[in-house]
Amino acid sequence: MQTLTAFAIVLGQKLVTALIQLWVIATLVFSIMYVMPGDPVLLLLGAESNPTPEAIATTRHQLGLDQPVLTQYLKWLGNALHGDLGTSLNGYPVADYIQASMPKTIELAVAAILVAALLGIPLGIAAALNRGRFLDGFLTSLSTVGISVPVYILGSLLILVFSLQLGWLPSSGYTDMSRNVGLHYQKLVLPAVTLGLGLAASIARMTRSSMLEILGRDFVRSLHARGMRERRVIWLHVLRNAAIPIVTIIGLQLGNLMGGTVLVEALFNWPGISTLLVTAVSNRNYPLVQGSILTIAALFIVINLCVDLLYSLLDPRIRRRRA
Amino acid sequence: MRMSRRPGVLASAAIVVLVILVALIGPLIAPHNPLLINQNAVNQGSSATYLLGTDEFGRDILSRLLYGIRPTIAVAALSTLIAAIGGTALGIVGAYGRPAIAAFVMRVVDIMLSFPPILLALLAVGFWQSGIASLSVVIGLIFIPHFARVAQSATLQVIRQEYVEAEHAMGARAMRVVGRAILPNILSPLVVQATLTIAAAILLESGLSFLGLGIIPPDPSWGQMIGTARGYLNQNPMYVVWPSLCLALTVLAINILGDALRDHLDPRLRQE
Repeated sequence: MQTLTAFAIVLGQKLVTALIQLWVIATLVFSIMYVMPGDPVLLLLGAESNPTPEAIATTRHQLGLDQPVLTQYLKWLGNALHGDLGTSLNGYPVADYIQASMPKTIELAVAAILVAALLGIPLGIAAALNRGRFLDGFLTSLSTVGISVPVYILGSLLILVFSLQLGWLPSSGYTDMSRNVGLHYQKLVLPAVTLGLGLAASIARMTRSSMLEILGRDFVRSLHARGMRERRVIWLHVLRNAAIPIVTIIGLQLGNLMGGTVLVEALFNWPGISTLLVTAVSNRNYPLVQGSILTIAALFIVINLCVDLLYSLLDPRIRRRRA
Repeated sequence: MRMSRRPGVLASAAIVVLVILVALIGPLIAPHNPLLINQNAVNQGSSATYLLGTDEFGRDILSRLLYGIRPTIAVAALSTLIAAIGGTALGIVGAYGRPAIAAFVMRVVDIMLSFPPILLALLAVGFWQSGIASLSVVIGLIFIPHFARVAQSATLQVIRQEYVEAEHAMGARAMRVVGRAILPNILSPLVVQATLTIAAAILLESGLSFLGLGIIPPDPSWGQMIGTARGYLNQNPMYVVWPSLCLALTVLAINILGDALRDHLDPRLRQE
């Protein structure tokens, strides 16, 4: 009962923090319109066409830009809460664009995390169990390389080798599942692996250090002393205790990927939300910029919140200390 | 193990020195004008005239590499300086300032830390004039909270030490305590953070240039060259390889040096 109350308090605190973060972001995103150079009305009408002052005034009125800033702010915030993110400068609802691109980013992010976890965790375990030996040094150096090499370099090299030289995989683009399932997944492989390799390096590092920490604990020694088999100690006890930080870093990576796919999406022409954002930024399409940033930030905050809660659920010590 | 004996550390130091040297004297040793267009030699492979080949306008890739390092290094150095000064000040306030102000500062830092840097950068540079100065300011601002976190936790450890209390007992004013007792004693984690920030800033700048939102063409920068080369993978595969190799080696070398520096400065790790 007590732990349940404590957990409820933690949950409440974290929810409030997340809501504040979301509100700060929303406010920042709203202010983009006002602090950034260029009049959105002129952008909409096209400054080259020399619109008449009357036309400018009419559009300004249509967009609600002639109202006091505070009124606009509250209205915008209210609409955003209802999922109405305004209208893109080319006339379509921003929400439609987001709905079309967001799932593609999520799919890419989940695939990348799968690659990263399936590669990073076993490598980290192998490094920890061979501490100080050649394999450990080799894997640790490899992970430094993996962390240092920018994704677009890795991706370019993968395209060169697997697409242009060997011809095994398509070099870029996106094919809808309804059109061709096989091609859909073929086109997913290279971007997912590109993203996943870098993340696998951090996961391997975290797995290694977290395993080593648990391996040094007294209880592991007593399990050995009681004659428990090495394999059983590792798989049943060490790994389970080492899992919390590993799960956490994977969760945080997933959150980061909501905006962190931007370079890979650009490299592989993946039509996700980052591509939408970059295009919107280049075209100064403010409503679209606002909508995509807000969506990315919201997903990021929600995922982090889930990771945080999972963390306090998994580790009773954290639950008690924070409460 | 001594720092200099670790495998890779010496090589990394050599690479970093070389990179700085090239940034300084690159224009003197570049065989061609990096902006000189040669329509008769577009997308060529390596040759005697063009050691590393030419790009889509027939410009010499080697010369563009030698010049292209300069904006990257300039932005990395300037932004790290901005982040270090701003972040250290904020971090010290967050640990040593009045409790209400300190709590507020660290709250803001936490919120800022919770956004992916590339998103913030994208947002900022997308709307301002891109250039070395604005890129440096934007990237510097983005890394301020990272420095603030490090500076704050280091300061928290230091202010409980006797020498700080001694300054207090002697009636020293806050600024004097910060300058004489705190700052000199939190330098080493800050130096490590600075190395990591330089590498991160290089990655961020080249990432933005790769997206076409950083250094403006025709002036070369490594990230932008990689982004452009992406379109010519078929015609000239080595075009993407050279700037990629340079960028990856530079960042890797800085990261290895940073790791070695951290191990060297951390007494717990040194004893092992």
